[in-house]
Formats: sequence, C-alpha cells, structure tokens
Amino acid sequence: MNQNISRRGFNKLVLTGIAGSTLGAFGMATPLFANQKHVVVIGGGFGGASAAKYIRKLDPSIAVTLIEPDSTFYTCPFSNWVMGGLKAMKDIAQTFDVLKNRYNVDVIHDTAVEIDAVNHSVTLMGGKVLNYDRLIVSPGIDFKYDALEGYSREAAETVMPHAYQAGPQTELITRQLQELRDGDNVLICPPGNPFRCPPGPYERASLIAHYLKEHKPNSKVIILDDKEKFSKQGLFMKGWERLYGGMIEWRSASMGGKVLGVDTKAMTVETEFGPEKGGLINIIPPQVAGKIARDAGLVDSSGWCPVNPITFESSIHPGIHVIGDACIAGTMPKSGFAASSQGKVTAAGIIRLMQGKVPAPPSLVNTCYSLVAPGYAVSVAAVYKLTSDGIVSIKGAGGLTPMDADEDQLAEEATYARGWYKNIAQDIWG
Amino acid sequence: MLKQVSVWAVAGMIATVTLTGCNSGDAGKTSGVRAIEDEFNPRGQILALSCASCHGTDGKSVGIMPGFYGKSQVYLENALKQFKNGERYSTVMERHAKGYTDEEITLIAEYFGWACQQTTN
Repeated sequence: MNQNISRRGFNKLVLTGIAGSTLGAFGMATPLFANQKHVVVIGGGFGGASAAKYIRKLDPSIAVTLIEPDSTFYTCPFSNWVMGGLKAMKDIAQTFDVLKNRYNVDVIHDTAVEIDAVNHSVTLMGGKVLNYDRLIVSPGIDFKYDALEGYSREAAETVMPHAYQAGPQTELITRQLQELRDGDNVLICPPGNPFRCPPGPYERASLIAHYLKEHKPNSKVIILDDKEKFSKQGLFMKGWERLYGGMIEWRSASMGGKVLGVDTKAMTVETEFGPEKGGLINIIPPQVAGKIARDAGLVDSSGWCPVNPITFESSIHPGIHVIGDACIAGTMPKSGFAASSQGKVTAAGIIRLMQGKVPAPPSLVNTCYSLVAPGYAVSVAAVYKLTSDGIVSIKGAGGLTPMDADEDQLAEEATYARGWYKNIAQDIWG
Repeated sequence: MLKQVSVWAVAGMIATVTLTGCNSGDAGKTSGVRAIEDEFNPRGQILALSCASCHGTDGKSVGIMPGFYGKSQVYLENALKQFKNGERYSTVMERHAKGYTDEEITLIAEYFGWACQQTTN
C-alpha cells in the first residue's frame, strides 16, 4: 500500500515539476510588459497588504504596486497590549520586505494624493503618476476632530491621544500612563457606532487597569461612552468584576457618558452631567473613511464607501475597489481581521475579472480576541456570506466565548490570541 | 479480538492518509493515478482563503494554532466535520465550522489538496 502511494506521489511530483517550470518561464517575471495587467494598492495595512500579497501569490502574471507612506506599519491589534506593558513596540511592527522580495510587489513609500478614476491613474505626493488597470483603496480611517469642542489633531498629538492609529500615538499614551500620578484617573472616551475595532476601547480599559493594579493602585479607569451598549459587554463586565473590582467604571451615553467637548489646559472632559477630570485622557473621536477615499469621491453621505459585495468594487467609481475600515461591508465590523478577509476576497475577484471569468460568491470571516488580563481572553467569531440583504453573518455559526467559560478556557483563549497575531501577521506581511 | 484488529486497521489507514500529505484523499480509492488538475474550484478557493488568517498562509502555522499544510483532503474534511458537529474540542473552531455546509467543507478540503500539490516543489 505504501509503495503504491509512493508511486502515485512520485508521478504527481513529476507532473507538478513540469507545471512549475512552465510557471517559471511565463508567470514569474516581474518587469512590467506592455500587456501585463497592473493593480495598484493604496495602503499597506491589514486590507491592502493582504490584497497585494494574495494577488501575486495566486496569479504572478499580474504586476502589483503597493503605496504605503511608512516603511514600518504598527498594527492597532495588540497596541493595547503595549499600553498594558505586555508587549513592546517592536512586537507590533510589520515591514514590507517579504512582500517586496518574495512576492515581488513593487512597494513605494509615498502618499497617494489624487486618483483620476476616468484615466485610471494615481498621483503620489512625490510627483510620480501610476497607471492602473484596477485600483484597490485600503486607507483605513480618519478622525472627525471637530466633532468635539476643544479637540484637534494637535491636541491628539500632544495632550489627549486617540491612540487609534498605532505608532507615535501608542508611544504617547503608554508614556502618559507610566507618568500618571497614583490616584489620578484615566478617562477613555469611545465614539458611537460605527467605528474601528468595536471591542478596542474595552480591551484598552482592561489592560490599562491591569497596569494600574500593579503600579498605581489608587487610580481607576472611567469609560465615558457615546453608546448605550458595547461589543462583548457581558464578557468584559464579568472579567472586570472578577479581576479589577471597582477599578473600571463604565458610563453609558444617557448616564453621563456622552462627551460634548474637552479642555486640554484644565485636563477635563465636558459631559452632560458636568466636567470630569483626568490625569490621562484618551479621546477616540468619531471616524470616517481615510482622506484619499473622501477626496476621490468614493464615500457616500455616511462618510464610508459603498461597494459591490462580491468584488468590493466601488458602487461609485468602476475599476476602484475599496476594502477594510473604509468600506461598507454589510454587518462585518471594522477590524483588521475583516480587512484582511476582504483583501483576499478582492484579490481572488480581481484575478477572475482580469482572466475574463466570473468571480465566485464571497465568503468572509472575522475573529476577534480581546485580552482582559494576561491569562484571560474572550473572543467573538463570525462567518459571513452574501444574501439578498447584502453581506450578513451566518446564523447558527460564530458567536461569543460562553459566559460560563472556566478559567482554563479563558487562559486557552489568551494563548490562542497570541497565536492568532503571529499567524495573521505572517499571512499578511510574511 | 476481531474488533481490536479492525481498530488497528482503521488507525493504520488514518496514519497512512495523514502521511501521504498532498495525496488528496484518494488513498481509499483504487482508480490508480489521479491526474494533476490545473483548475481549482473558485468557490473552494474563496472559502479556503479565510483559514490562513489564523492557521498561516497555506495552513503553514507559525503560532500555536495547528498547521494543516500537507494534510490530506480526507483528514481536513473529517476534522472540519468533527468541529462542526462538536465531536472535537475547540475554543473557536466549532463556531467557525458551523458556518459551512458539508458541501462547502468538501470544497475547502479539496482546495487545500489542490493548493498543496501546486506548492510541493
């Protein structure tokens, strides 16, 4: 039996070898031939980098150019772990070397400033103009700084960080936490829906409380929320009670959580119930699709980008696909995992379109781990498909960590959270 | 005694199937060499691409999640069905597996069998 299998295996190896060499002769070349299809991707985050890698992986005959301002991309997932002292900045740093060297993606570190949807070109800040057959826009989010009186980009960069794009903002809030006087409170002010990473502010509250418990036991975290309920609420609140006693206080919008404005000098937040003082104030403003998507007219009145749910091609400008936080993807949350899932579906769809074939119906996934303490994590999962109501999660699948999960299971989920980060980072940038 | 023997026979088959790696689940068939297919089912591809986000590209895991690169089509199909039916312990996988029909599970397993053959060399 073993011999038979070996012979079969050998035949397959030979045949695969022939297929491989054919690919080598015609497929792998990177120079841009006159007739070679060219995809330009704007944004090297979870969505854009996934799309770039998977187009090259699944059809190496297509040339891909990736436009990303930074040579190091810091991920928002796990940036809360940095604040809690559980990870270093280098642990959330991703680079583009593998995309460049192994997948032959032409990575240009510059900023896209203009999209010409009629002539199919993108202009970069450095002056370069790139032509594309298809364009993928994955710009992430921008903040509506003027939604809160007294708040501004400058306030975020100096006094009251949003820390909702990782990098210098993560370093600033982490430093402020370390310098916080024991007894002063941390205020976290999340926006209403929709916004990036719905459980993010609450994982942040958890890990800041973890840090405070060890280093500043007289301080506490107050969440001033612009909502009446939040993601994984029951699981978070149960965890907070078990792990942090009264150290985390959540106020819903109607119970004084709604923030009207800030005073950066007095270090106060103005609520409907009066001012609240904080030693560290984390303002997470309401959000819209990234600037280039708005400038190119890819957004509707909601500030986000409507797309065809099969290929994520813009409903406004043909030939341009919008993925990740910037797009409206049915009931999918704005998460790194969702963005990557959309990037891969878009990659497969674009390849089919360029081959003159019909794209397959989409299948998308989201999994989101939130760490409540180092050995205590909760998760939510969903599988999505296309129905007449758009992209919806499949009933009977997915869902939350059970409310009665025991300590072993919660610890196991924390271990899997670490494993998830390693694998998704490898799947996108590695 | 007979029961004992058949248990070992089954165990042996499972071991063989697992070891055959890219031999995509035809170990039980006697139809001989199965030609390499250049085409894959695009539905299978779309469904299968999701798996890599937790299990690594092509199922080559670098974290604690089990990798499945090189596992046979039969192995993958059985494992996914066991997760779906709650016969195999997991924290998250059962929640995912319930999102796919048995036909979709077969398509996923077939795609990884095909993809593994493409990357063997």
